[in-house]
Amino acid sequence: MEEIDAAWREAQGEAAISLSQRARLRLAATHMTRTAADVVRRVQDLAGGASVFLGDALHRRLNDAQTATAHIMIGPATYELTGRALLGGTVSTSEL
Amino acid sequence: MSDWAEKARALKNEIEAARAFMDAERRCPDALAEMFAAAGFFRLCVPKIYGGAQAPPHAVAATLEALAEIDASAAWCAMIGATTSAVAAYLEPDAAREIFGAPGAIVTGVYAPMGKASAEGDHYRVNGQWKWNSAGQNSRWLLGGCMIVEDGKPKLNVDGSPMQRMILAPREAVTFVDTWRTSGLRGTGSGDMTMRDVLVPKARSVSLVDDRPRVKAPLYAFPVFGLLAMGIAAVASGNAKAARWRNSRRLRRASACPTDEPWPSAARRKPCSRRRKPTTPAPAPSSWRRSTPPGARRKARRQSR
Repeated sequence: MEEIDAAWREAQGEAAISLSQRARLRLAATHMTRTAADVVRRVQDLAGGASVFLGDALHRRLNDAQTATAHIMIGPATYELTGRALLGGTVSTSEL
Repeated sequence: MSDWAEKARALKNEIEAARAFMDAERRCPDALAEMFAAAGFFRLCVPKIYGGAQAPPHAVAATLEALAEIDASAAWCAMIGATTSAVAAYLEPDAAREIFGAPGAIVTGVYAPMGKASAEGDHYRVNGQWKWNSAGQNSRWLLGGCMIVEDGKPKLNVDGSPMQRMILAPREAVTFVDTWRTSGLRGTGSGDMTMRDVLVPKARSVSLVDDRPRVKAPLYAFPVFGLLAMGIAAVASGNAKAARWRNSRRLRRASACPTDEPWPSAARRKPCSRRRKPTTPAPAPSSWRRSTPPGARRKARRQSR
């Protein structure tokens, strides 16, 4: 993940990590979590009917992927928060 | 591959054996949590001076991703503990040693300020109910975000924002409320916890906003919310990879030759006919540590077209 590496490089420096790097890290994590759920959904499409049964391994993966997207740190509001930060709006570091 | 990810994979059988318990009881069994503690997962971000791993973020991510390839609920529990353990760097050293110093320490909690704390001498009196307390029942210490109140009203900072601190209380001071009835991440035990009139020494409180990390290291310059978000993404990634790899045989049956790969993988480079032979799925490649300079992969892909 490029944004982890980028934030990690900034963390090695003397100055505090910039607000925009904090925002990019959060945005990347949000994108990854939500894309991962889309991927599992797509795998289910390809795999056919077997995956609708309770106890099926893919069914579990889909439920887990879907539930993970509910966490507030990577929720849809993160797009607004990080968008505001990256476009120079008012955002406190305590939110990121 | 980091040693940490190897440690995670080594627990595959134990994690899979715990799945029936996790489904039925909707939490992680203590025995498995103790194995995670022994492996060091719950102290991945504890400073070295307190005996923790102080692992760089990409190692944390690789560990969580490897765990999630086995089971997302188990990985989620490890993720909450691992990321919470970064708080140790902000605490007063005595409190940090007491709470995070033991090799088997498991600390989880909720950052959101759903509790109220009022000062009484060198203590806070804490009341509150917190949602989403993943792996709380496996923990020795629990962290809860609080609004600081005075005479029943929120105390304000100089800039007018409400004053917040997170307090750490031992398990005995906490009551768990069984609210975790979900379709996904069932085994995480992410129900509510409550505290009623719990007296917490001020030294066992911390603010990620008003306090500066006391341990100076790059890991503690890294944003704690960013670390948590990264941990969630790592679990989601491992889960999605496993969905792809574990079901590759079923996928081959259902769709003769998938031409549009949703995930960059080793399989993409192979001709389709070879993929249709029944083979053992190779371990998913780790995307957490880049071995090539930025843009090189994209460039290589462009040239190969």
